Amino acid sequence: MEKKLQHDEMGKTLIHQLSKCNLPKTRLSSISKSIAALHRTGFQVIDWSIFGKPAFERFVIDTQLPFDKVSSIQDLFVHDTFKEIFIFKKGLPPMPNFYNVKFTIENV
Amino acid sequence: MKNSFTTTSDTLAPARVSKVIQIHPSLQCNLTCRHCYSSSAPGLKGGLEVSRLKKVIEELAAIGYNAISLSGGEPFLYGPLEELLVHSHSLGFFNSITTNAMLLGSERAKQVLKQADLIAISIDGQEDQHDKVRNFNGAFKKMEEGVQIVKDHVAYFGFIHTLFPDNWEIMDWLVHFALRHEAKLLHFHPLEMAGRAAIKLNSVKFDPESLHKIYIAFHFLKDIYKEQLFMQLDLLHRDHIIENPNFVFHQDNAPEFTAANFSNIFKELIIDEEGDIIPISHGCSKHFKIGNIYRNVSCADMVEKFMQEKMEDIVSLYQTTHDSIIEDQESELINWSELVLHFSHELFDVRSISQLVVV
Repeated sequence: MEKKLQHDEMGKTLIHQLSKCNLPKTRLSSISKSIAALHRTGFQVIDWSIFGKPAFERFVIDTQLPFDKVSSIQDLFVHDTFKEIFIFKKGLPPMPNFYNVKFTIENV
Repeated sequence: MKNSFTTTSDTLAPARVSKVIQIHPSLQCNLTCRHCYSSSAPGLKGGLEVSRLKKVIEELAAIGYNAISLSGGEPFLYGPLEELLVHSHSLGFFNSITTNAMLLGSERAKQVLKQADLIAISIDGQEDQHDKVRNFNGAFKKMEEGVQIVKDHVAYFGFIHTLFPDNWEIMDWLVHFALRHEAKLLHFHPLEMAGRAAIKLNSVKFDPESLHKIYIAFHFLKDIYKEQLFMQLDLLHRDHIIENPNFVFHQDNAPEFTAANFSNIFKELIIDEEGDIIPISHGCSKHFKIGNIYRNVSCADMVEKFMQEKMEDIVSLYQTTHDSIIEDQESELINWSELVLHFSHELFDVRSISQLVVV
């Protein structure tokens, strides 16, 4: 079964992975750019998850976006780094209070 | 008694919204750190006259400043430190001190700590790395003793770490070190080529890959530990700078260039070890000197003159910095402040200006 890392081991594992995996500059640049875009466009990052065995098959960045900033989601579609984007409405119908948006980055 | 709090954001809010006077009262230090941006060292006696500093912060309070941040040198070697902090508290200021935490055992130091609202403690890594960078065996152990004293006397404290290209992998260890000591702040600052660092470490360069790894690791750690620790990294993505007009006083967002608006434009003001009052950051070209604490000119008059004579150059400096970021597509992660300082010297130092005239 796919393993999700716990917070306490995540930081150490991530840094080890970044240090040893020899990711090309273009890939690192693409990930940095996407992270910067998330923060710049008003997404509030709630959590990160790392999946895979060994780790780093996937990152999932769990975010929230206020309802009035929904157009920001469109800005993120252009980033190839995000393999999947899941969007969930949260709040009482008929209008959501915010969106829960999960971004997946593969093969870090 | 310590304040109670619920979240890191709440605890650091007063410091984060402040308009800060960063004071370097002396270059005297008990250490000779390899990365010191101000070349501080033992034996550099002297210090700014406290009566002058008190007068200046009083005048700057009237202009809108509401916090002081003491750095150095080692601030705890500055004799009248307590007197200065008591005075700034009487003005309603928020008092912050950056220290190596090695000189906190005395009764005098504990009295000083009672006047501090935030203590930032420098840390360079695990024990051997810290001692090596600090050029002092036992510096780490002494610093850890100091952390305990700070915890007993000050409500909020944190750590500040200078990142080297070959030590970024320690970021997770630093987070856990800070959490273990119940710190509320962890500030990562990439090594800058200034002061002693420019001489001793001038071959040390960040490659783009290291900067990306630092950026990714930082955002990951910041997000997953945000409830416990406020983290800051002095690196911005170029996209953020390019898309944010506030960096260059874009006409649609430009503040009014008036003396009344000075503290909104320059949220950090520096009083360096010579008593010069400068904007932006320690080490900025003296072309932008606003005044000096020993001159018998009021801060209001200094600011008025500065706004009239230098704001055009400030706009030009920021615009040049911004343009260089747009042109240099290879550099994606940027220490904005370091780059502004670089251009402040390249464009406005007397030598550069005279060269332009000759050409």
